[in-house]
Amino acid sequence: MSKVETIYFVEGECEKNFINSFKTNRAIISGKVRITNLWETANINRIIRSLPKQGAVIYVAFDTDVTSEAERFCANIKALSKHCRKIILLPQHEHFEDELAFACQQATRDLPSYLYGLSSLSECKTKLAQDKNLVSNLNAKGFVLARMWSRTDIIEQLILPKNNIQWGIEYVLTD
Amino acid sequence: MIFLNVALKNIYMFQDAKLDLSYPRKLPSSTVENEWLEDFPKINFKRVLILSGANASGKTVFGKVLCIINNYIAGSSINQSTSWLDIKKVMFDKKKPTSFKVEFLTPKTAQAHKLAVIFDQDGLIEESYTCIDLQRNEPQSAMYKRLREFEPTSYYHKTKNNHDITNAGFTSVAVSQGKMKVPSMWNYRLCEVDNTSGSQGRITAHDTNIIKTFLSAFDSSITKVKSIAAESYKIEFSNGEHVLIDKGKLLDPDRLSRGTHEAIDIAMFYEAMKNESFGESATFYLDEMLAYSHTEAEQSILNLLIDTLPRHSQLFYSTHNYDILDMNLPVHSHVFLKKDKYSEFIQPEKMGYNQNDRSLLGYVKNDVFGTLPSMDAINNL
Repeated sequence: MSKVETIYFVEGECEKNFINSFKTNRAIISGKVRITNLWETANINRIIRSLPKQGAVIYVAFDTDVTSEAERFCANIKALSKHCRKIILLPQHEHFEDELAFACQQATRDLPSYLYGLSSLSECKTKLAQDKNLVSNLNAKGFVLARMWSRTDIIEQLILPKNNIQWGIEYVLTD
Repeated sequence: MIFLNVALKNIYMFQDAKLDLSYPRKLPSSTVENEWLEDFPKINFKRVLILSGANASGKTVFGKVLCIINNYIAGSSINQSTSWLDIKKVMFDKKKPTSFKVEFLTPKTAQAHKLAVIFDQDGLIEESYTCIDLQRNEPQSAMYKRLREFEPTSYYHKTKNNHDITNAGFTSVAVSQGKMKVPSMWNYRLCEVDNTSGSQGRITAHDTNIIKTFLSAFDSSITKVKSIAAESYKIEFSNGEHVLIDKGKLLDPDRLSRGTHEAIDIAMFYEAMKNESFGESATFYLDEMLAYSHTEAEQSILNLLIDTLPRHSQLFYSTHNYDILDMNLPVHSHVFLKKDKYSEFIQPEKMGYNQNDRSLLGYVKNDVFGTLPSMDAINNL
């Protein structure tokens, strides 16, 4: 395993459980997972202080349902990019659940019943955040990992530096 | 108050130790914000100081000395025989005079101060106190020059100029004569000693949510923290068991892991830092209180404390954890304590190691600063 530290910044418990499950399954690159919303983070220095000076690879999974704080988001990404080896952006169309539904080739409204036989999305989110068998449960439902974070058409809305920044799932998948 | 310089002679193992808490030039994108006075932008001071060093190199005793100085400036006697706030006990060579010299700022009064004190076993021999008003665009070096050359505001000498005080004891003459009025607040958490906080800043009613947040981060089986009396709490576990904290003391310490036990103190330290009664200018000293914590927890808590630190306050944080050296902090935030015959401060930025994008970790592991403990005797057993 590389000595370079890998850190995932995600917005919620569902993403955290998803990444922790798939990295344990060795389907995606391993790394620490921290819950942070970079659309809302007012003091990026607090995050920067916690980054290793020796450099890290940072993955940022982020929702795109509300983009009114795009300026702050871009400023935060830009600031982070100066203190790490590279940043890989993982955009989620609307929310994580929408991204997951896309990877399962389902409509978001059908996801709760499709995955867990539930009727509400909030119950589904609770289950997703706690599911200890997430990988096998998803794989049994025709989930395609390569479809996650694969839609990068939000790029045009975000003005980001080109250095150090990459987009999409291919950088997360292990060989 | 904000310390700018501390010089110690014949106290504990400090024979001629100097620590500089100012720095010459602002860093373009420092991760520790506001390390200067907003009304006097050329006056730079360190808000965060990470102290590292081998065992018995002086990290804890430096905290004790700094606390003694805080007490002295506040007008308290530093000959409190029932506590460790007793300078008589810690004079290294009891036949020789002991001295400390400090330069500090008081942002509220916009002043810089210099205090030089010499004691022997009988008490104060000499005390010189100087105070100047800060000038808006004066460079730091010019401010220091004025402070060091200015006529003392108060001067006491046991035989030559004693103001009819034949024995001042271990209390400041400048304070007793009303010449030195410095708002001095502090909170020291030193390992293995009774801890102390500035008398006006003592917190008795802690926020149970904060304690719960800290404790459950360390031990996920902790479900609730309830306040039951002043400084007394009930910690509840998911299996229905509980432990009590009675007047700040954990009654059944074995029920918690050592790291979780420490977290109670850290939560209270954090809360003190947030508390308005400490004002905006205080000295905080946290000495190896996270020694039993996971390195990730230690980094996160240190990060939180730096974020919470009031604008004109200073945080002294001692640790053995290498990972702290790899955090994205300015090089000038690190100081190493080294003890050969005596203890001394090693400041890497003064030795040319001032590239802020480089980690000090490699230098320390390669013993560039000579701060690694010598384990030859153990290795050769």
